Amino acid sequence: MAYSRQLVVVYKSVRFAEEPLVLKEIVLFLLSLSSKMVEVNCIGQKCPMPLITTKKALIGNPNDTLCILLDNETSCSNLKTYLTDNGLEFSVEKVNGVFRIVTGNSIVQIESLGNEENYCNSNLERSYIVVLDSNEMGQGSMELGTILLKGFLSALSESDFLPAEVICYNKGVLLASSNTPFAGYLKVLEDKNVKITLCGTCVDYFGIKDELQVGKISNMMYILERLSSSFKIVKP
Amino acid sequence: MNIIVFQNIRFVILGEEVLVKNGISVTIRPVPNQISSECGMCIEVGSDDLDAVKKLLDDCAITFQLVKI
Repeated sequence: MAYSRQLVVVYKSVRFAEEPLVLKEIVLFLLSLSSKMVEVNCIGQKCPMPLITTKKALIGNPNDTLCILLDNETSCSNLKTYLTDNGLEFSVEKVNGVFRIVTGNSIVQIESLGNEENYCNSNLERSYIVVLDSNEMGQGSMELGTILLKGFLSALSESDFLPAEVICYNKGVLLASSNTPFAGYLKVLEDKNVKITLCGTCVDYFGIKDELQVGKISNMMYILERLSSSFKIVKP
Repeated sequence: MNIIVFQNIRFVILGEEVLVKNGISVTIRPVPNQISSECGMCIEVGSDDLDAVKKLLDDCAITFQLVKI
């Protein structure tokens, strides 16, 4: 309580700095002073339970640091993806077969926390990721490559065995732009709960952020994490 | 589902270009297994656009076949 009062006083005193980033850092630091470490024990739990337990803990302790304990790699990987997608900083360490994820001083946006069920990838051995690194399929003729990719995405969206995720990078991010006919094809996949991930650096390079019609921007750490933990990667 | 099949992929590319240029919404898709075709790709169009599609393709002398499945 005392910390909270201090926080308000300091917040008021620095608000004139008009430096949002500096201000955020100060607020986060002060929040860290008033926060406590909450242990979330997910030992023995199978997906999606660790995700559900963590979400409850995040909602119940929005200003506190969580120390989440898990004992299986799949749950750990899914939880890392969930935390990353919700903008939470965290560190991971593995001690004696137990994964320990400690969340950082991020401000949790409770109302925008994603649906944890979408992150449960318990059939990891069977799931796959599709990588799109171009706006055409194969090399040679551009017009042929374009029509082939449309056919591929159309067939993919009607497949009985959908991918867990489609990751787009380099010219692949152009597919999500409203200026191409491809966005509609990706939208069909997204509507079927296939996650569409776009490389943020690539979106920035091509300057298409305002034109994006589908997908979610992510970074190289996330892409590496997903590609390295996926059993199968399909690249048309 | 209204599927338009063509003799070859060049007609699919040309057909798509003509239809899109005239505001017709199309979906390129692999030819369904139950239809035999020399070309592996076809164009799916909505029922409301059928008459316009037929006219546009005929005007461009593109040989096609309409299949309803």
